[in-house]
Amino acid sequence: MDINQKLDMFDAVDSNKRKTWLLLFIFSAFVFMVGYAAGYLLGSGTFGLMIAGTILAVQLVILFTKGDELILRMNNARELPRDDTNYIYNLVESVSLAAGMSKPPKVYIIEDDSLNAFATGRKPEKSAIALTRGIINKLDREELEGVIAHEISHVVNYDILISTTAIMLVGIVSLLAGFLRRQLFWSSMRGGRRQSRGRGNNNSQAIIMLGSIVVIILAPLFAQILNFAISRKREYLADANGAILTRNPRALAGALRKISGDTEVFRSANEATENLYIAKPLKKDSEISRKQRRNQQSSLFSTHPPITDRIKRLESM
Amino acid sequence: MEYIIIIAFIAVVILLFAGKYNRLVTLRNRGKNAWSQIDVRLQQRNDLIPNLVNTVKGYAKHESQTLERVIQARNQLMAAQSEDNVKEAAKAENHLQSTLKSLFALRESYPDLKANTNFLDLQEKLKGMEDKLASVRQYYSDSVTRYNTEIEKFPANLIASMFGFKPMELFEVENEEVRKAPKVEFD
Repeated sequence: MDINQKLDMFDAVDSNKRKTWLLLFIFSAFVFMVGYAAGYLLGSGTFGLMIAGTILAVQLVILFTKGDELILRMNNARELPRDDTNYIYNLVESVSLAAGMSKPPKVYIIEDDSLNAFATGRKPEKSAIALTRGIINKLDREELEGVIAHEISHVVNYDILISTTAIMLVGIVSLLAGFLRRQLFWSSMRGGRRQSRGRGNNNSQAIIMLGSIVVIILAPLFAQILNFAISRKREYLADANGAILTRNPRALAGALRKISGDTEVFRSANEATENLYIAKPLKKDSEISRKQRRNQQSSLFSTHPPITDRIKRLESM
Repeated sequence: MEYIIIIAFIAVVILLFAGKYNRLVTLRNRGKNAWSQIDVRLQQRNDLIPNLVNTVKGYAKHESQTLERVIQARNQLMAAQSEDNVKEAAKAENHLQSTLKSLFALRESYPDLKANTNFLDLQEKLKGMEDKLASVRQYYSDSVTRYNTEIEKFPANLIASMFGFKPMELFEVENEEVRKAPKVEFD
């Protein structure tokens, strides 16, 4: 039996947990910094710290208690009623047993004809797998088992922890950025009025400067967060582990082929969560999706590795 | 100065050592945990068997020999389980599988049995249990293979022999056809 050491799912667990803490730490430090600077410029640094602290605390509580639920709701997923006669539940259960999970993940369904799936949650005991109606209908049993095994690999090696965290953090950033923008807007209005009355505008200029600095810092941070969450290696790893779990790489390759040939537009696709999915969801705009297709062949920046490459790797196992 | 270097060197060696040791403990515990999962699933199925045998008995009185063998195999398995003897349990499980096969073959000679809803129910339940058992067995064999490979490698093999990390038995019988793990290369 050739289970390559590097492929051991459990080896990825520690690294993912560490990365999540690091991410949270850097992110909190950053939010406090921005909060303090903004508060300082608007009159009170302590006030800024308090605002930043409050936003952070609320968001982190939500992240750790309801993060997965929120993501499921954002994607219009609803729980598949637990039923032993349903073959989907049997598949999920048997794959999760093979992965050594003590409790199978919950199963959610997204009423959409496109072919896609994702997993979320903080830890394997409290995880969920979402499947679209399309993927259930169009894949045969073995292929669906391959997809489920891919998602369960994400669950077992804690990819879900880091991706769920990253999505929530991106959410906080956009909330904070919006808040700052409004503040900037109003203070620059006030500054403008003051200026017309002949007073200095040092303060508003400083705020605008801060704004640009925030944007400058935010952009790479954003990229880093996404990078953490959806490194392309993770997808290959989940494919390989999925193949080990089902002992059937060809079925997953077949599933990926069907998914890549899917022309159905994903109506429920949600920009913020698209990185979670097994394959990048197609957008409503046909122009964009055509461009996406072209880009699938080769692009340094795409979040998902080219599907043809994933199929090739699976078939050579 | 030299003392500091020597102490630092020793400290690094001890840390590496401790890391490897903890790794082995983790892997061994994973294997044990996997075994207890097999144990639970086997037990569930063992509990179902008397019920199954009684149902069949009602229709196939003259097949007492087959029924007897099923019960015997089950008892053997339970004995091996209670001793945590993986090798014996694997053998008994294999034996039980073949006796169960001959038990289910009876339904061809007894049409009434084939039509009995209770029997069909039990058959379905048993199939579900077997599927889950197969998954758990796979997990066990993956975990044990991983552990056994680890304790053969250098320098883990030194730690293993020092602290008594023994190789674990696979829950498999020789010549048995096992679903093979695909060969995976990853860079």
